[in-house]
Amino acid sequence: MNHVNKIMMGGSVILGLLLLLNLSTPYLYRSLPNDYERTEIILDSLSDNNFKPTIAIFGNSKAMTGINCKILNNEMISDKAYNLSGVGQPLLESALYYPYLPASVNYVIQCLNIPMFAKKPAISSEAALSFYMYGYRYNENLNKFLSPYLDNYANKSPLINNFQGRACLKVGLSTIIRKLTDDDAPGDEVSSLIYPYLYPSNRSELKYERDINQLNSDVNPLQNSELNKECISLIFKLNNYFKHKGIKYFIVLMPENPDIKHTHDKITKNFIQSIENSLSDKVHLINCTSILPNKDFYDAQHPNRNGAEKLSKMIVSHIKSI
Amino acid sequence: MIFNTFPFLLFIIAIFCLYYFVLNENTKRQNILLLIANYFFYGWANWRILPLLIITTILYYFLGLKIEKSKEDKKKNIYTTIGVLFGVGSLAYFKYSNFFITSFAQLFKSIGLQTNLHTFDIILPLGISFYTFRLLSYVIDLNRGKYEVTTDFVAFATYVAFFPCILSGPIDRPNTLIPQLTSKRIFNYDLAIDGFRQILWGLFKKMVVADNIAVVTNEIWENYSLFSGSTLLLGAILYVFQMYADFSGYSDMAIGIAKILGFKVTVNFKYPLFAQNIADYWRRWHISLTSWLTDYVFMPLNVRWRDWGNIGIIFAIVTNFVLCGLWHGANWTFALFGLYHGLLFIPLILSGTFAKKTKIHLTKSGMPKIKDFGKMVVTFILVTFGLIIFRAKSINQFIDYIKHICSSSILRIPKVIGYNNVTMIFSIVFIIMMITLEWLNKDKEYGLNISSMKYRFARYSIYLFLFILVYYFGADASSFIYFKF
Repeated sequence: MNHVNKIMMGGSVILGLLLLLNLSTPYLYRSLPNDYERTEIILDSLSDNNFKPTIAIFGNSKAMTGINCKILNNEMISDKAYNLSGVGQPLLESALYYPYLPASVNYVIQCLNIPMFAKKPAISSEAALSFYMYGYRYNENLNKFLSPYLDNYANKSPLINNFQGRACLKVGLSTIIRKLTDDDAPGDEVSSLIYPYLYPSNRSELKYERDINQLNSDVNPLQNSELNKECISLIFKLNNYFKHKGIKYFIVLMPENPDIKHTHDKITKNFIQSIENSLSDKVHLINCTSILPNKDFYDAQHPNRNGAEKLSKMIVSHIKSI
Repeated sequence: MIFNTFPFLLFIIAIFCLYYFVLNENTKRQNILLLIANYFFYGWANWRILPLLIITTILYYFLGLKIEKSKEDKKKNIYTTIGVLFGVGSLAYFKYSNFFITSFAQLFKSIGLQTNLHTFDIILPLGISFYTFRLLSYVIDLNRGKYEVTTDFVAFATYVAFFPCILSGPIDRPNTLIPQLTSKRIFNYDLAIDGFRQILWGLFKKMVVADNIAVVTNEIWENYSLFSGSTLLLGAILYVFQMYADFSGYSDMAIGIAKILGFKVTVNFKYPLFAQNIADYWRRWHISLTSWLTDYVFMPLNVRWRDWGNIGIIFAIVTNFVLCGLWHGANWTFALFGLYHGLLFIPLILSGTFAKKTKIHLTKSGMPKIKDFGKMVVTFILVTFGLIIFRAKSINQFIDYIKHICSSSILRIPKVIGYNNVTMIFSIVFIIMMITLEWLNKDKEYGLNISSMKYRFARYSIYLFLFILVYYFGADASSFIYFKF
């Protein structure tokens, strides 16, 4: 065999190996733990005919730690509430689940952070990847107003998706080792659809201080920001979508930690006011931004169990008042 | 364009095919292709800095011709001085002008004088430190009569901008690369296979070892006041491995790519972590830079101060290392880093062991003898301390970091936050793998040079294992630490 043939054969072997690793990635992704396992849990639940929630909660990790559906279920006996929030789940990601909600749903509670209103609706590439890996099918009805924001995730080549998901082995092993070695690793509770509280231990003052200092040294993210028209427009469209289905749609402005200086400065107050002005006439808006003191936070961002109790009760009282 | 990215893969496949299948054995055409590839590669990051490289190349090409044609030494010296001043001047302007301005402003302020000095908005051209040193050695060595001038402009320009080496070295001397550029190049199978193997080793070191350590060290350095002394110490130790894996990994990739194209470029690292003293360390670390500085800074100063005995050598070495430190960037921490290393040479100079080559004595099991191992550990500790200075953003931060290490929390178990603890464990495993392979192959050019391994199955298993590690554990393409120098 001459050298050119040898190089060609070597190149083919490398390409074949790459292809093999690429094609095996989705299997590894699905069989190993990762930060987006909740995507699979939620999608599986939504496709289960026995899953019949009347209240569905969506949002990011603040909603996971901040809304305890056990409290909602105790306070509203005739209802069955489920927490379908996930780490880093923005409005657009929540909206991908909406078409698959069972007909039993009467209320959809969408929890949002204030800075989200200053940004164009988007989904992280990691989250989009998890939807692909867990076999999500993009829905035609909803796609017509979500597709402009999906950055072609829906049409991405499987080879590219698989390549981008190759860190799954590292993430999976990290998660397993962390569970064995780290007392602060999220426990099994994280896969709950009632109250997916993330933290097994009490607040770490070291981490809390670090995060607060970091956030206080940053400028207010809302400085020079305006309400994003596309974000508001998407909320109106989603509200109409649910209206047609006879479902009540609530937007919850999630609590901010008062230890972070800019959460209660003039810029933030004005911004919240502008959200209320834009939404309150057309959408059920629940402003919870300043209902929790600093002791009700596990860290700089996330409510703890006490905070969740207060927040959940506030949501119950709003639903009941309608 | 970074080596460990998809665009570079397409780029190198295209160059490889054109180079060997279309232009095979036609040296001139191969050089033209290489020159176009060099400028495309360089301009990919920022095309606005490309004209500076081209103009500089043209200037030095003509300076070379002038030096060669000048019969009088005086004229030769004038042209050489122009070359040296232009090179040093452009480095001073692009790399150091803002540093000098702010330093002067601070100095005046400290003695109560207000100044109205403003810094410039300057783009630092990528690889300027590397190609300028290449050009400086060209004019200086022509003046010294070490070799004949190159009349082939394409070969000369290709030497200056040789894409595998332009961004982070190795800094090849003209007599290493130019003769290869002007001679016939046909496909060398063994050299190319060796190149592929070295690239795999470089990818492993950069993407698996260095980039995983970087996750941990970045967290520690960015929040050092919140961690225990033991964590900071571990962060400092890990940074030594990160620096080594990052920079030597890049060099391995650069050398490997050059080999695929039929070139043998200067070796840049010879297992510096196995060095037995600081002089030995610098003979093994960034060899192309240290040998450059030895030839063009240390030796001339040493000759000038030879009448002062050991004091002259000490002055020459300290000056050499302060410049070496400042070459890395415009910050007083780099100057202090250089000064620190220069001062570490004093005991070696006074004991007469400074230029003595060291040898590692092994036990029957292939491990270093205790005495030699002790020397390696001491050298490693000295290097670690130096790299704390190097990594710090300011001298105050360096002092603060050391103070935190020396606190009572040094006795605690080192711990970072969340997932990074696992990344730390992975990093340590990867470091052990890297060091083990390098130790076993310390007599070879690079750690994965296992072509002579008896069992083919074992050899291919190692390649496959590293390939899988790079695929699954390699972080996404990140920049290299040495790109900014």
